Order: sequence, then C-alpha cells, then structure tokens
Amino acid sequence: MNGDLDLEAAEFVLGTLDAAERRAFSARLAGDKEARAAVAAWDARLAGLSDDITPVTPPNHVWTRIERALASSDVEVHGFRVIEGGAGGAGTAEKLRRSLNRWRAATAASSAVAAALLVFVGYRFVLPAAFEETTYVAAVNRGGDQPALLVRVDLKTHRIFVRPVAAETPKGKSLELWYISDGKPPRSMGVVGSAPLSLPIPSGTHAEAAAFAVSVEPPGGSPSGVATGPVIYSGQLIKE
Amino acid sequence: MAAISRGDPLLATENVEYETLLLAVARQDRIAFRSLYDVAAPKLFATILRIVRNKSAAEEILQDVFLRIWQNAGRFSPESGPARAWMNTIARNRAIDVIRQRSFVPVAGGDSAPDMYERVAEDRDREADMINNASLRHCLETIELMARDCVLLAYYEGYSREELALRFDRPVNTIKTWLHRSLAVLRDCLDGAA
Repeated sequence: MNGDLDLEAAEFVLGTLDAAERRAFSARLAGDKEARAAVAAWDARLAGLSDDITPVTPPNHVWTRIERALASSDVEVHGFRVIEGGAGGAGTAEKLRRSLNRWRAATAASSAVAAALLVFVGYRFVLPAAFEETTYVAAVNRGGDQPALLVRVDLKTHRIFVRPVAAETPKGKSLELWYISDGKPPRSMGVVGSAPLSLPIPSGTHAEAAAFAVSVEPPGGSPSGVATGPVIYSGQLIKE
Repeated sequence: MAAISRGDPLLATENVEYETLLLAVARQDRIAFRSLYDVAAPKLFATILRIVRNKSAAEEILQDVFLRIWQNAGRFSPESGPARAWMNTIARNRAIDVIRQRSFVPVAGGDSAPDMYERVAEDRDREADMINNASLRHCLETIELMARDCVLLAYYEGYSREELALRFDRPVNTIKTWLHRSLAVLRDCLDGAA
C-alpha cells in the first residue's frame, strides 16, 4: 500500500483535505481502484466513531420535501437518478433548459463534488497566451462514484470530444447527449455508445458557457430532434 | 442514550434493522424507505448538523442524502460493511463537501437556534469515552491528547486543518503532521487488533 495514498485517503475520510485537494481526490476516486479500497478501509476503521452520536430529530418538512422530490422524478428508469422526467410535446426543450437551470442551482447550493460528468474546456482559443492552460471543469453527480462521461471542449480545434466512462444505458433505450448554450433549445450531439465521439462545436454558440445533458431516448435517439426522455446526467462548465 | 446503546447486542439489532430496510429500499420499496428515514434520519441529521453548524443547510443536505440513499441503495452490499456505516459515509461526505466549499465555517450557523448547537455539541468532551467499539477506543487512547482531539474535532465537527491550527495555536503544517501521525498510529493499532 502506497503510504501517501493511504494518508490522503485517511484525510479524505476524516474531512481535513482542503477544497482543492478534496476535489482532486474525489475525481481520482472515480478511476482509481486502489484509492477506493483505501477510502473503504478508512470508512470502516472510523465508522465506530459515529455509533453513539446523540440523535436530533429533523423537522417534518424534510421528509415532505424528500417525498415531493421522489414524486417529481417518478419516472420508471430503474436505478437512475432522474434529473427531469421526460415527456413529448413542444414544451420539452424549454422544460429541459429549465430543469438544467434548476438543477444547477441545486448543485451550487449543495456543492456537489464527486464527478459524474466532467467537462473540460481547452480555453486557448478565446484567451490570450498567458491563460493558455486554463481549464474549465463541471463536476456533476448522479449519486454514484463513477463518472458517466468525460466531455472535453477544445476551442482551438473547435471540437467536442466525448468519452464514455461509466454511462449506463437502460435496456432497450439509447442515451442521447444534448448541448445547451446561449439560451437556445438543446441540440442533439448524437447517441452515446461505448465508443468515444468527436463532434464539431455547433456554430454561433459560446462553448465555454455550454451545458451538457444526457437523456434516455428510444433506440437510436429521439425521433423528433428534441429530448423526449428523462435527463439522467448533466454538467456545466466551471472554472477549475 | 449512549449508555443504552453501548451494549453490542442492541447495536447489532439496530444494524440488522437498517440492513433489512436498506435492502428493501434497493427494491424501490417506499414504505421501507419511510421506515428507514424514521430510524436513521435523527443520527444522520445530528452528524450533518455538527459538521455544517447551520440548521437549514443541514436539512438540505439530509434531504439530498436520503435521495442518494434511495437512488443508490442497490449498490449497498451487506458484505462490505454495516448499513448504518454506509449511510453515515454518504452523510459525512456530503456535509464535508459543503463546508469545504466555504472559506470559513461560522462558529454557529446564523439561522440555527443556539440550543440546537448546544445540544449537538454538548458531549464533545466525552466523545472518546463514549465510543462503542472497544478497539477503536483503545487505539485512540494511544494517541497523544491534542493530536487525538484534532482527529475527533475533524471527524465530528468538520474542522479543517486551518481551523485546528487556530484552535491549537499551531502552524497548519504541525497540524498536518499531527493528523498524519495520529492516523498512521490508529491504522496500525486497529489493523493489528483485527
């Protein structure tokens, strides 16, 4: 066992890593089995500290809110965190955009860290040389420990690269990636399979301010060009 | 409360109850979910409240934690540890994620009733004595007092290295050294006892 890794895992579990270290370690956990094992061992070692904590009954409205959240995501996509229930019709694009805004606000409030969808931007294209290495990252969590997709936006080559990591496709469905920018309706980036994709950035948009969402669609993707199924992953760019 | 739950048989019964409910929640059983909330929420809420020290933030995190429990119950496996520890890890992680995003944790949350904070903080001094797990208690006792307090304050109240440095009037690097030394001692002691 790597001693430094083990102490970092211990501090992660204890909670004493600073914000940047914690973010970096959370991201590392997604793809590092040894780090996950170290964290699990520390979770187990320290678990006994919580046995005798004096309980505090939460106010009733907490349960009411939980129930409401469950009801609003009551779409049968078993095992997935549904960010927004899907429905056909003209309002879907607007709904998707609204749900993303709402979702972003909720994420900002709870400061989700573990990454489910990471979006990196090579910012070279729009900033002076001094800022060449600036990257933008969106960390989005659907509650799991594995990132679903890695999306990198390269403004220099004007392309978006999508690498599926642990996106799980429900049986008999396809996952479709949507690009949302400049207040325009979400645009389809195509169906996400197991192979990496490379796509052009939609013209006339600011990719550095874009958000991405993944919805569950019929096999082969939405027939109408607008999202019809529930959104199960989404991510927006933030400055790293 | 502590004295009652100190006995292992009661704790074991509690774990069986949590585990049964959590496995039912994995099958999307909403009645079990409500029961799990009833039995587990008060301790998880206390855990979160002590770390974030703000009542409304703690409520929001508790809500998020239970939605995660609902969504991820299928990933829980009884072989990898007790159900309560699994849920507790989710709660602590969320609470710490939130406070680490802030530069400094307020001494007491602006909207928290003072007695709420008092209630959750009252037993801090007796923490080491109240730890149920005998080997954990023994191993903590092998760490020197201030370094042990650092570990406990971080675990229970979410102290950052900087806050510990202020509290103990030591440089941050010293705190980091204390933490690393304490954790290494704890690991060797616990793994040796297992």
